[in-house]
Amino acid sequence: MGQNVSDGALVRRAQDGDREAFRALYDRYFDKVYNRVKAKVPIQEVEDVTQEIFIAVARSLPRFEHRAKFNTWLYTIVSRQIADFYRRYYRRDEVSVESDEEGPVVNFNDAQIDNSVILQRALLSLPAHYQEIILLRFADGLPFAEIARVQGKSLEAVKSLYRRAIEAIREKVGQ
Amino acid sequence: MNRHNDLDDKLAAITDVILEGKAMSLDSDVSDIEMQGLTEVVHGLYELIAPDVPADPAFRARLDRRLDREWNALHRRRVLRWHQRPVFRLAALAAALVVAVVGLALVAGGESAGMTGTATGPLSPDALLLAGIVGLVVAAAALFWYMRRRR
Repeated sequence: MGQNVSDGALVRRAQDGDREAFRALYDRYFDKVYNRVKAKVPIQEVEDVTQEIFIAVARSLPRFEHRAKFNTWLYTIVSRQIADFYRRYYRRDEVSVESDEEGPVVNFNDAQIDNSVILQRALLSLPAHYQEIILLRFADGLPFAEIARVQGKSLEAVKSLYRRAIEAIREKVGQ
Repeated sequence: MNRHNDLDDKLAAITDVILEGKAMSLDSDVSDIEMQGLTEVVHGLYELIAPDVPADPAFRARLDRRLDREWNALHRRRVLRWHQRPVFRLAALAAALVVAVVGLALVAGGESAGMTGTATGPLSPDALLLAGIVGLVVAAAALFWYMRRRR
């Protein structure tokens, strides 16, 4: 299905039961979603979380009411699924500390604490607008000028926001 | 241009270079100490997110199959719920209204026509009025029910 078909048109077709339209949306956003998950979730969990996100999208799509842009709605689902993952992650972590039994429970506290993990935690602790500008540039691959257009801001404002976001990470990493 | 604008532009340019996959030596290309620190963060983010590294094709294939199964299951459920579709509900409402109005009219007409011995004699004005009122009440109730279901 052509790249020139809008997200909204594809969503309407998918809501009418057009499997190819859903497939086109999935193809269009797979890399972006996958990159966003990589930015925020331990690497060994990225595939599972990505899968849960797309299943949630397939299940929720019939209820999408076109009040927001599709990608705004999609990224809300991404954020919610990542938040759900961390709720399970910390619960599992508590269980693994309390339990004496050996089992499939992974204690993520024992995970290798390398620069990537530190950076990921710093990114997760940033305010949402700082996280978003970094994800738009790195995960979605949008040039700064395109980010400015999408967000309705000046190029200077976008570059300034980006620099402050990177500075915030540097400060958190340095702590 | 103030110092912050200068930093903004430099950092954006460095980010573009790094995201294009071009190597950048921190020592040679970035002289400013502050900019070096920021560039290290950009390098780290590039390595963390690795936008150039695609997902494992085996994972992608598994996810494709999983979503196909999910789609089929959802579609089957939607087909099973055909009776919940608005079009069907509207048609059912219209049919129920017609049956109610015609049925009441026939009953009322039959009662008044009983005197003449015909089952389908002309309706009296009272019967027509009664049928109209009942029809309006049923239509209003049906409309109210339909609007509530839509909310």
